[in-house]
Amino acid sequence: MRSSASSGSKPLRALARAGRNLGQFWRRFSRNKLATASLAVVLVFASVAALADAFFDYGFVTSNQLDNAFLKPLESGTVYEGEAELEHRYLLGADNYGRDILGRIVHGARVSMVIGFVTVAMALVSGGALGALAGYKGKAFDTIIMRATDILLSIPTILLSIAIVAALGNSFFNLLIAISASMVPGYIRIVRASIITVKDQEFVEAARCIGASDSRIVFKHILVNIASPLIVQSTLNVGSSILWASSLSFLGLGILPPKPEWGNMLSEAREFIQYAPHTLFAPGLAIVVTVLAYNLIGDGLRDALDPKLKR
Amino acid sequence: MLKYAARRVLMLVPVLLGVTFIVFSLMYLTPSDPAQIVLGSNATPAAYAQMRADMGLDRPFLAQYLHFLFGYKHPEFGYRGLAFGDLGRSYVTNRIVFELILSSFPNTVILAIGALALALAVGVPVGVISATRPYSTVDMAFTVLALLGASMPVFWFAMVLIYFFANRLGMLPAMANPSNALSLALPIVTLSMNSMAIIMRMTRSSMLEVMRQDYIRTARVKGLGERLVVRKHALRNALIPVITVAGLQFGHLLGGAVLTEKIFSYPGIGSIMVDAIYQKDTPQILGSVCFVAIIFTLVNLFVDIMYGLIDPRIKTAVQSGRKKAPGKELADALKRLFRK
Amino acid sequence: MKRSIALIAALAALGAQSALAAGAKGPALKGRDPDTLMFVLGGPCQPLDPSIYTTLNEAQVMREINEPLFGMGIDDKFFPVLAERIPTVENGGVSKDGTVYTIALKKGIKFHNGNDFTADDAIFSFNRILHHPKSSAKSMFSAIMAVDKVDEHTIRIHFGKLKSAELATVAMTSWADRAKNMTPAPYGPALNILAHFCSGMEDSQTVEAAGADYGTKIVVGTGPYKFVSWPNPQEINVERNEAWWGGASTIGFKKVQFKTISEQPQVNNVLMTGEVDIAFNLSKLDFSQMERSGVVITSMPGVMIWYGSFNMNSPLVGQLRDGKLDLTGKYETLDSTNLRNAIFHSINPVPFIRQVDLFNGAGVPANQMMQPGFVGYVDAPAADSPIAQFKEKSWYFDRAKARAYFDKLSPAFKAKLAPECVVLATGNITDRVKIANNIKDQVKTTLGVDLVKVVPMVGSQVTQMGKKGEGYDMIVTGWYTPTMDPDYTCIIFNGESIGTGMNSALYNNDLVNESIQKGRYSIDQKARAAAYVAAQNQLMADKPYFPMVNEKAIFGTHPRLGNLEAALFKTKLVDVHKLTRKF
Repeated sequence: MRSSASSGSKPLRALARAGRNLGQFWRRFSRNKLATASLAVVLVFASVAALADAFFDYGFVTSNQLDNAFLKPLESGTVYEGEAELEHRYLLGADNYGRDILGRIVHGARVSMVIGFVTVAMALVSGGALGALAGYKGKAFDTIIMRATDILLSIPTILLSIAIVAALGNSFFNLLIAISASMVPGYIRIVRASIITVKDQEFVEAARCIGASDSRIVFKHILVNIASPLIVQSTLNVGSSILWASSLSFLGLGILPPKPEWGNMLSEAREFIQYAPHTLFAPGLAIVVTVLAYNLIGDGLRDALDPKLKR
Repeated sequence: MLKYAARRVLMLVPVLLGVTFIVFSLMYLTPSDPAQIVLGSNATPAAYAQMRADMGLDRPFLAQYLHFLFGYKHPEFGYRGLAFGDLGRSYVTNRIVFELILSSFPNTVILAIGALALALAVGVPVGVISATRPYSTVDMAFTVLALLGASMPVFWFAMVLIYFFANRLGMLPAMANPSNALSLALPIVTLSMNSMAIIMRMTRSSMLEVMRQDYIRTARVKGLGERLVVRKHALRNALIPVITVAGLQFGHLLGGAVLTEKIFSYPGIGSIMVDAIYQKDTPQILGSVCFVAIIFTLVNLFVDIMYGLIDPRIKTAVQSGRKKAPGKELADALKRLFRK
Repeated sequence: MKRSIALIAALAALGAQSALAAGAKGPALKGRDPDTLMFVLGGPCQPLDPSIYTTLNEAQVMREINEPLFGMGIDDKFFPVLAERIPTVENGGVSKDGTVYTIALKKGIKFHNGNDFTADDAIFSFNRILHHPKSSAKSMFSAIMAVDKVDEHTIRIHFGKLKSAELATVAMTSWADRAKNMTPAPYGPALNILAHFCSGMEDSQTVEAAGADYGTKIVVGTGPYKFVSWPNPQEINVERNEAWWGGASTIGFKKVQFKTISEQPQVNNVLMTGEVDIAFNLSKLDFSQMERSGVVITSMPGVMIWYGSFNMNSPLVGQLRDGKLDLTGKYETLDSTNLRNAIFHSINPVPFIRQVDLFNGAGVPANQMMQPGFVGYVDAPAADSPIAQFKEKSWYFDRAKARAYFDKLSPAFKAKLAPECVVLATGNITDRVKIANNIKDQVKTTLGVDLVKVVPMVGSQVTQMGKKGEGYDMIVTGWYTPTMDPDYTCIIFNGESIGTGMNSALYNNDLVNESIQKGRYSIDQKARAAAYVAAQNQLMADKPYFPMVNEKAIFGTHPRLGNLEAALFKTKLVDVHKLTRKF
């Protein structure tokens, strides 16, 4: 009984269905005020980060103005641009080199966003591929991949990151590898579990009876099944990726000064916690607010997407 | 059940082997010259070459890996291998590697136990309260606080704590030492933040899940007070996945106390590992990291087997082989989501 | 709810009160044993074997356990320790030609385990320093040709020099090798090295019996403190030697714990909370706040000089002509010479000294590659000496000069100058990286191009690169001269040191090398001074190095410590046994 198989209106109907689902999802999500607020925060940060150059000149935030060192928030100091002398107000104060902390936070936001999204994307693609391989092909592939996952999970993440950077060298790319390595096992498991669940389910048998092609059915259902845990996991991972980057910078690996990155700003400001606390609190709060926002969004997404949790 | 446990134990061997292989390969790739470290910078090139040969470093990769596992015969630099818990002496401190590991590990265990206890003591009650008032202001406040704990860089939080409690108020010491119980307060609080957040969220979702179950409705209908319902029926079942997560967290705490130990100058295995990595002290790194990884794997295995024993639904599900019990599926899903 | 508020208020009041009380009489001791001195070290200690390991951290510990034959007081004068008296030409202790020192050892001195200290132990110790494969102090003692036993309590040390320069690469692994390759010569810093902690006397019996465990589990000496335990890498415990020959009653503290804290801010924290008594690796940041909380800050001129080197092998900043180093004193001005000069005059270390989180005033700008106070330091440069161009406020910084040199570069050379083409390597330590970044910034500001790339790396890697002269154009580093004698500082620019990593500029100038030889092999202090002055003038003309800052030695101590004037040295070392308890 192929009654619904008129090819012309299928894509339109699919779109309509997607639109309805999206609307439903958004209604559920927006009921969670915390998550919505966090989403707003993240969007604001992201746009500020993208437009960082419009707010602060990169050269300005990476060069020293030693005479202005440790100015408190809202204080002003003289700044030399080429031959000109300007009066500059430091909204969040100046760090130990006299650089504008707010400017460094804004440029650092760009770096953090890049780190967050690139590492998650890398882990998602590699973890997803491996998980699909494990779930779909099964048997030998499955055992090998699952054992490899167990192995990776047995080594404490921070040591794995330090060891990777120590072995491969201290570069931005190696930092990305070190961080995404720890996220890969999570993705492998999600994708693999979803595939295995779908493979077993009865509607696959039913669909086959109708005569629909095997791979298309399975693919569509897997995608639907996978989407929510992957989205939730990825959102949470962006947050933890930013935290990891800052921990590694703190240890002297990863992005080093004078390049602005929240973690190395904290590392530099460590000694001034008594002398000039604003140098430590400002970047620290930036990290906390950003990561918290991502965690709240992820939390909200999980609630909104989980079919079982009905209000 | 025994077959399940036995199978899991058997699978341990390739996993542990894999761990040692990865760690060894990473150290092999790291650019450093152990002969330099041992002899200092002033020896002749001939002396370095001789030292490298003595230490077995001119052999091919696989040979060195097998030495690492099963021993290396040499009058001065020999050792019996990781399999026998002997990796000889450290390049830098000249102490016996495993002696240092075994003497510093208990210190980290103390921190981990303290942190886990605090995380459970605060996380579980807060999670229960949240679950009984879902989506209320209290719930939202607790959610934010819990996630806050998981959003702060560990070292930053440690420094803030030291600033307030050691410098400003003078109430607690800034250096931690296992012999001084008061000094353990700040590192334990720092370390517990992340686990506290996870346990709190886990308790909340597990409770919510359980409270929706039919037998709770039955109990309510029977006329039992809400508190009794919560305590007797819901909590016990809800706590099962929480305990699993707590067990897994213990393993993470053991391996992840690195930054905390560094900031508080605490003599645990975390600071040993970081110092060794900085100084490129290969045998110390290999020994410590593999040791921690092995313990971590064993803890996970233990938790898995215990979980299987405690939850009767799992036992039958496992025995019947196919279908997963609902609680376990949720626990697995949430475990996956929280695994870092 | 109300009860918990009250409780919190009470706790806060208690805390505030204790904070106030703490300020009054110095930081509280926080319930620790008042008879134990807590000494902070900046890094983990290597095994306590003075013949082999030489870094500042274990030095602090070893000096209290193993004593050398002589000592140097804070007045820079020598006094006998395990020797009976200072040997001089007048009292016959030094031979007329200055090559043989006859040293009478004090009688009746025992090691901590009861063994007697005899000439055999002294000979054993010198043999270990010079010939043990792992010893890192070999080069410092390399002028010792032989040590003979005259009797149970007298030894004779023969000083010498290599028969010819080519023998410098030959490894000497026994007294026989030394006898074969050396010829007698007087040695200027003879007493300096015999007063250095590396020549701390060890008990031959114990060291041989303990094997690989010596230095970590078993440590024995003659000194005022004896080794008790080393439970983990961050803690070493010693206790008073009640049978010390110098008189146990003069030793202030019964026990000492050496605790390693490598994070400078944490060092300040624990000084202010009273958890430790003394530290020399403080963050220099807020001395006024520390003093307000009762910590005593003592500063004095030090023996650490911060400097940078230009790799003479580098095509960008070196002095290579046709692939060979061209440093005969009258060399051709190449493009790289001009760039080197341009960078040199763009640097100004004076703001570094002012920089709050770097030196914070604890240093003076250095105008030559020699620490002030040493023999041969150029105090009053001649009018035509390059050192005369130094200014207190701005060092050799001269924007116009720098730009002039830069403009002299040929167009072909300038075209090759990409941003960040000059590699400035430095050890991975915060202060060094800060200095390096400052230099990068100054070059960028003065020359208008961001030429310098800062590459931090592990210290041993820097040394490795410095041996071959490959992979870097500049290095920022520091040099510490514990012997308080110029000969040790000269290692930096001695042609002989090329290949050891200590002469990271790979500088090799005949006049400088000759001056160093003259200064080394003479015991006439005036002649030595003249030789070193000549070397310094040449160095500042060639500019293979740029001296930056002479760092002061700074100590933070708990107010309960007394007798600081006698115990704190400009080498950052402390005579722990001289510290006393005031309350």
